This record gives sequence, C-alpha cells and structure tokens, in this order.
Amino acid sequence: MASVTTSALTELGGKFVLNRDAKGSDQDVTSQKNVLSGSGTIFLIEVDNEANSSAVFLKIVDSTTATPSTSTPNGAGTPDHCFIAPAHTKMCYSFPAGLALSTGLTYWVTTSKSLGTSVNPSSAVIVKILCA
Amino acid sequence: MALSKTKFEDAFKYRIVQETACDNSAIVNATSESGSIYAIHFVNGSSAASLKVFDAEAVTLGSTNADMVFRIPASSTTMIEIPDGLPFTYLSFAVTANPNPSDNTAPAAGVNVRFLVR
Repeated sequence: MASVTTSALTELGGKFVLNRDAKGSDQDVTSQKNVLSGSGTIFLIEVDNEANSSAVFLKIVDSTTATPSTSTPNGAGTPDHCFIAPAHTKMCYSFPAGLALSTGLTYWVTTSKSLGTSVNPSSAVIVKILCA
Repeated sequence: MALSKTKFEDAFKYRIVQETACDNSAIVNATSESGSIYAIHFVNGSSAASLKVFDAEAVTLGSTNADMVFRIPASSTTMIEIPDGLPFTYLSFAVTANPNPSDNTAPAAGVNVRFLVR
C-alpha cells in the first residue's frame, strides 16, 4: 500500500499519514515524498515493526524529495530525523509542541541507520504520522 | 560541558540526565547502566544542529552511526516523548552541526540536552 494522507478538521493534527507497508528503496518511495504537499508540523509518529526480527529506521527529511540511496554526507539521502523501531516492537514518538517542517515531509523506512541504505524491510512496517 | 544526573534512585523510578552544553565531544554510557528513554528535551540558543543518540559503549564521531538523529532548529526548544520507552544498553549522545549520522562537525554552540530515563 502506498502512503495515504487524510485531512480532517480538528484542533490539533488535522492530517493523518498512513502507510501500511513503508519502503526504503529509491523506486518505492515515490508516494512517501512531500506527503503534506508543503510545510507542516508533526505531533505523533508510530512505527509498527512487530513483523520484523530486526530493527528498522524511519528517516524523515524536511524536503519535497529524497533519494535514500545517496550516501554523500548531508546529501539527498541524509535525513533530518531518524527514529529507531527495535525488532518486534511498536514505537510511538510524540512531540507535544510539534516538530516543524518548513519545506515538506518526505520519509522512508529501511533496515540500517547508515547513510545511503535503501533496503526495504523484510516484512511490512506500518507508519502513522499525525501532522498539522 | 557539565553532565549531571538526578540521585535518590530508591525514591524515584525515573532519572534525569542533563548535559548543559552538549557538543561534538560524545557523552558515553551516561547512566552507567541499561534502561529506557522516555523523553528527550533540548534547548538551543544558537544555530541549527543535530542531536545524535547512540546505543553504544564507545562512540567515535566521524565513523559511528547514530541510532537516532533529531534536527535541532536554531534558537529553539524541543520536547520528544516516548511513552512506552526506548530500551538501551548504553546511553550515549552528542550534538553536531550536520544531520549526517556519522557527522563530527562541532555545532556553533553547545546545546542543553536532557533525557528522562528509567
């Protein structure tokens, strides 16, 4: 399933990004780029890695695009934020005051914290992001 | 730099670890024991930087990749909560200028970083 963004009128966090099979390879992340169609603020992130026996890493860049395989330091494959989800766990990260993204929300999920890693997780990783 | 930790372990389940001027000199094994991170708070009075968190007993900035990276906006305060806790064996961390997970560039100024751990 590709990344889907749903908007609703609420006082806090009116945009819900859901991806039931988040990927990391360059060719698979098309729908995971600029999912807010511009700037935004993240309030909650949930990474469900219960299906995998190894840790995965949710990488987020404040940009409208990214190329995860780029290993040049601080280049198109360098995330601004990297969140770990250990093996067989579901992690929740919350930002009560928000995590501002001035340009866009682009994300990918891969199997290594190393720069330039674009390997897809073995089994589906579910990513939920609540934004405004 | 000044690393400090709350005491009274018998009275409180949680501890606060604070580094008042965290920079590219990594703080390693800050709690001297394993545990879980429940919150991270950082206050930056200078230019943008990146907080790197490592689950590693030894960290060599420039080659060791961070397990977690958080962008620290310029002149900002950021709070991250982890309700279920993120387990670690060794709590190590540093602040560098760039988001590259193995960056070792010094930030413009030290950042006040606090962890709530148990």
